[in-house]
Amino acid sequence: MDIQSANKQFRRNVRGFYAWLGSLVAAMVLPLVGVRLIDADSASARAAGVVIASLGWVPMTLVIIAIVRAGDEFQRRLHLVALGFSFGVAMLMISTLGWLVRAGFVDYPNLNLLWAAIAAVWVVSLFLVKRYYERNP
Amino acid sequence: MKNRLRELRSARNWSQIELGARVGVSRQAIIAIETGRFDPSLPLAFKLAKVFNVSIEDIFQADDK
Repeated sequence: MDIQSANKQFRRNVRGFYAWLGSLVAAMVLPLVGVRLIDADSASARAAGVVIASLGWVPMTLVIIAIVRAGDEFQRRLHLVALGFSFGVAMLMISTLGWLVRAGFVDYPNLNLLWAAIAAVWVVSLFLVKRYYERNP
Repeated sequence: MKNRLRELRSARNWSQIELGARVGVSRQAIIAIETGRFDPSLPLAFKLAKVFNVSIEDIFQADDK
């Protein structure tokens, strides 16, 4: 790799890091702003709160898409397998919870807790898939 | 699919990072190909053959099962 392409790569990585950091801040701050509005009395403020809190994850989603698109064919494979696995686990979790609620074993779960669990499954899947492909057979 | 990637790379004293940079993929991709866990696409196989100046068949062989 020559110095020019190394510099270009470095600048791209720095931009990516700041984009990731910015999206992380948005994902943490916007829901907090949204919650303050959701607790308000007027319907318009509550509607704005829902929109703002939901928009918090949009920047991170866009950054994740950009990361996957910028990866080579192997990195895309990792993401595909990890997303496929976490999608399956998410379906299983949601349907099992649905049946548990219907059977009267548990109350309706907090949906914010559910998506956090699904996000955690996705991160763990990515780690496990990476380990699987890198270890010797 | 079996391959001789590690052997060819070692013969040229290239690191996995260096080979990855020559063909435009990450070190992780080279590791996965060398361990046989990931079969590269045809365009990547052509690039690998080109940097080693050999044919694709000289690098990759089908598993005879």
